[in-house]
Amino acid sequence: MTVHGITKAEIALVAVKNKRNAMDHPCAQLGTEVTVEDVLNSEVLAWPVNRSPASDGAAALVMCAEHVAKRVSDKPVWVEGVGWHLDTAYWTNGDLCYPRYVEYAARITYEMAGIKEPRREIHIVEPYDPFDYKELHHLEGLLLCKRGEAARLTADGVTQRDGDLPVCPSGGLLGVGNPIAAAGLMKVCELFWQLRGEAGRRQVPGDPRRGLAQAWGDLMQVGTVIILGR
Amino acid sequence: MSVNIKDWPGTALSSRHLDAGRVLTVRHKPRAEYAWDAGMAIGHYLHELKAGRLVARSCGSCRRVMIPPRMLCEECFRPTDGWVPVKDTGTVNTFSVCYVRWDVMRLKDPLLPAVIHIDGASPGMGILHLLGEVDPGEVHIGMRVRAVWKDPAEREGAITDIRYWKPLGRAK
Repeated sequence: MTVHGITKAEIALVAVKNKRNAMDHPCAQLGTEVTVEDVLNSEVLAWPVNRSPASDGAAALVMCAEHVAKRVSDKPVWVEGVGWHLDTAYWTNGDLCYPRYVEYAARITYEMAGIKEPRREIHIVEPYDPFDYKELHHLEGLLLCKRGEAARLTADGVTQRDGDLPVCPSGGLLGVGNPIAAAGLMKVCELFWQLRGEAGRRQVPGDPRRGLAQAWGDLMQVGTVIILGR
Repeated sequence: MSVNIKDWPGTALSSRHLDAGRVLTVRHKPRAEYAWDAGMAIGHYLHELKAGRLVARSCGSCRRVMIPPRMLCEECFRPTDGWVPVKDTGTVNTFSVCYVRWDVMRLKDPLLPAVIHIDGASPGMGILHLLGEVDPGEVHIGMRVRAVWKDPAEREGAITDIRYWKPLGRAK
């Protein structure tokens, strides 16, 4: 907020979008239609963050070898790239404005997946969004927009489900819920359904072929990125 | 969830089932006692806090003065070289106005946790602590602060030997 001159109201648009998206998710804990005013007037727990859901949940994936995948499914979804990066655990000594560890994890993933222009080649993004500002923070770290521009993309509707770069079409952690430790895989599962065209009312239009999911955690210094494609 | 699957196996649980005792529950009181060694770097740091001083470790390779102190430089992957006294003043790098306690109890009067860059340490070297004697609305990034220590008799070699950090030179 201080470095890029972004207001709380601009950041709150993320919560509005994700909670609305979550209305189409059968597992959603907090899918609802809210306005920016509702978000700004909600109970403040730790300013500038108002609230984050307390949730419990589980997610699972079946991974198998290529020849097995082709045998058991006509529409397998492939893991095209993965990347991890750890920053120092001395988080009070680091840069709290830009998640460099997410950028490094993303670069590893893009290289493995052969992606040169992430902004054009990624069709769905599920960044980690336990708080509304984290979605913006992570979009910048994933090199999907310039630093400080993520809030503008949200305001312009680019990150809506039918936008140019759909972000958290599932409803994300803000809308579906934030089951810590299952939250990252929850996002990978959403990519699976989206890429197979099984997401129903949550389906991103335009027959997406490639999606990215990202998780964050521990002492705020771990970034994990995965790209799925078909 | 996939639209191809209509009926998911299993039974959804709700608090109704728990209240009615229809779910198997186990009560267990863990005996979670443990001893923990703070280690050389943090051990000395806490010892010095008891004496009312803040200390940092320096690395002769990257020339950083690091607080919280550490015996291994995480940038250079080599042992750090020596102790450096630092000041008990600093600059607020980021802060929160927190209406919830560590155990999720709601608070009427908020806590003001902040990352404070310590004077005398390298740029960007901060510790997490609390602000006090300041109106939450007046706190800002870049605010200069000074540590408020407990009385020497009350100190016990913990980070809480500093009660909080208060704004510096407000008289100006």
